[in-house]
Amino acid sequence: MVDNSLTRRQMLRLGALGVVGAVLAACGGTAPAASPAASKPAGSAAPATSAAASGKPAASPSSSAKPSAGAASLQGAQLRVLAWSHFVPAYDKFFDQFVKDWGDKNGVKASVDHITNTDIPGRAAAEVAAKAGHDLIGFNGVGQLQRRFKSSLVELDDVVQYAVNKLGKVFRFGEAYNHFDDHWYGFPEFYIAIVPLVRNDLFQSVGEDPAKVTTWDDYRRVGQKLKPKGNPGGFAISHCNDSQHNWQSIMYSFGANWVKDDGKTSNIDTPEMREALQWMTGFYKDALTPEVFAWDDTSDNRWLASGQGGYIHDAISSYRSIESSNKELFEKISIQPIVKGPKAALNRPDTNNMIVWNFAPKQNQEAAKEFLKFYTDQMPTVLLKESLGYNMPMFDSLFKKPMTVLGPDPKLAALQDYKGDDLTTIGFPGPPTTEAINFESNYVFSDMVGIAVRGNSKDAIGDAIKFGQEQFAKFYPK
Amino acid sequence: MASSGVALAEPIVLPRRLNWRKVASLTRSYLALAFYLFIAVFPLIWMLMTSLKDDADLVDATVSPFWFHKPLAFNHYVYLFTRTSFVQWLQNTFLIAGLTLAITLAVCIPGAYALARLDFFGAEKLGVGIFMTYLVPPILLFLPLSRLVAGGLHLGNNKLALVLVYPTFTIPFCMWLLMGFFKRVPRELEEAALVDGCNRWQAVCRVVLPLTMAGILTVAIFAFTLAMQDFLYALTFTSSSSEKPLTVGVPTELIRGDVFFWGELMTAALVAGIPVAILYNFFLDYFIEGITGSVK
Repeated sequence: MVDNSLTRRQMLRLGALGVVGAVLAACGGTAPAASPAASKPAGSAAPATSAAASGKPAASPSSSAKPSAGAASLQGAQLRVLAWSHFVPAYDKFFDQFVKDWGDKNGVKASVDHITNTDIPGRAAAEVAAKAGHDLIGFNGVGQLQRRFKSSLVELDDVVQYAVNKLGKVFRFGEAYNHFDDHWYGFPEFYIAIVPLVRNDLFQSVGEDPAKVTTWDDYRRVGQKLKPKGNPGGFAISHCNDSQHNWQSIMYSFGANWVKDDGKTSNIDTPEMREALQWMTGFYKDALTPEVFAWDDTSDNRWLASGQGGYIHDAISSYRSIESSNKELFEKISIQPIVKGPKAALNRPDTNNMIVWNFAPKQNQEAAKEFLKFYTDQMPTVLLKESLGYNMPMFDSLFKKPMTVLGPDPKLAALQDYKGDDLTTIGFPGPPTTEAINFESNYVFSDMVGIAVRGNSKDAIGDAIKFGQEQFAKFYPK
Repeated sequence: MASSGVALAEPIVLPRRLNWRKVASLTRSYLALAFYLFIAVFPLIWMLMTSLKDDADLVDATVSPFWFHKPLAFNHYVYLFTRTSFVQWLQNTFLIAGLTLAITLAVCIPGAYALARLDFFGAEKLGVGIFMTYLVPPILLFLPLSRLVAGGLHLGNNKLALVLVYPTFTIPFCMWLLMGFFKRVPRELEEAALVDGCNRWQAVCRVVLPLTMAGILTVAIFAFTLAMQDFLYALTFTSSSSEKPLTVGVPTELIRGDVFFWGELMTAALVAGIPVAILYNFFLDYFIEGITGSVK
């Protein structure tokens, strides 16, 4: 009789082999997949006026994604893109398909992953540490880490030159983020205009013509009238991005800056800065309410959407959200030109710049560059249209009036003048150095505004300046 | 008659004073309990209300936010289940948490037993050392770990990377916790089993493990929920929608720049929280016994 039973030792050996096999099989098989969400009909907070939202192939990504000149050398390459989750879900759907179609035509396995914009810096740091990850990443908002990760970036001189030849020169602020040490380390994809969104009906109810409200003093005067009626303005003074770009736009328009144009020397303790902080204190008292100290990036959107907010200063995402959720309110809201200060009319927008990792396989780097060239070709037709006027170009020739989407719409027409040297960077007038990004991302200037406007001491402005100086020494080490 | 008169007199006089004190005492207790209950349940109620509110109702600052002012809206549920990969993320989360739990228990039960019982040289210091690794925050570890896991093992954008990484924080904590449970089992019980003919393996399986079941379930719940709630490692090691767990998938698709999909966010939090709440409820007695009691 044959004994078919296993000894305990044999059983353990078999079990161990089985576990090792299962783990190896599991670890080896997961290829980067295109987002299933992207293949589903994404809903949108924005209205279905765009081709992307309505499902029409407006830009016909499939048909326009012709093989590029270097397509033969790209065969078998991969292109993994990491992008932020766009506020228009339909734009993500469009862009995912746009990238995939280009990849299909060029023999490149191309896909797009999306994460929240504030999480991109952490993810990028992990990829640099691992020397592995995506090939092409969109650095968004305050996460402009081109200088921080310079040693891990591919020089994109040829790609940007191609784009400049096609689309005209890059705006000053786009160049400041991406061009340094004689090379282009980022591709200026788009910027997000930060605009006054005002309630025409409320302005008119206090005898103000929105078209004639053009300066920060005008907005303060209107706020003085609207606040007693329960319709104050909405400017966050807190640790959020809205707080940063709003108060910095005011600061720059008053001729004040936290750093000189060398990007190293403090410019905080100046008469201009004191004047700006003094004005901000008055503006807060006249036009805002204490709840702004607790606001996040969505609060001003909700404030305007609630029907109570008199005006806010932000991206057009809130405007588009209201368009889809409250048509009646939407009709009462208008977008105004860049607000003028006593010294200038300067605006601090957010930007999205694309970089390519130099630790990505060479073939993937080439695929990324070829894709950026293809994207450049399509930019005039897809950028504004698919994003509902949200993705503003950073190339001069794309601002010929009437611009796509913006020109024909009287409510958006003002956006056509958000261009050129009126737009500034983090750390303006110096370059957006790593120190400037750190100063920004630690909300130092927002805290200075908070200290000044709360007025907890007789010399609150002085306290704010002192705090700013201390933090400057910390973030801009000599 | 007399006896019935006495019987009638008692509840009329004495119990009245006693009842008054009792009522006051009970009232205080119930008020305190109601307060804590409110704190515990309010987030759930708020999530439920937000998930069922119309968007316009959510932002209307002129009405009370604590009630509905428009008809109930189920569109947030529809959006979540039909236009995002929520079900996929939920599956990923349970798969990752389940595998992490299995690895944690497979390592911790024998490990903690050995450290608690076998009295080898340096066992106690080793136990403390293992626990100390739990105190190193993930924010310090995610960069070197990404070099190891994504760079070295090529497990970038793979949910299995999380199955590999999560035990680095569940094992130290659970090992330390289980050591305490194993130490509570009287040695005499185990020795009696050995005297009765069991070998060490049988003594552990038949005597020690049943007596520490409350502790093991406590550890299992801790390990499962720790693996479910991680964000940083999940963000570091997954990026495709098909690989993301809930903690990354939900904010990625429902927080878009400065537009938060509040209704869908609350729906997702509520739906994801229900299975864990049920799990806790099933093992509540064991859990309480595990964290408060001892071997009976």
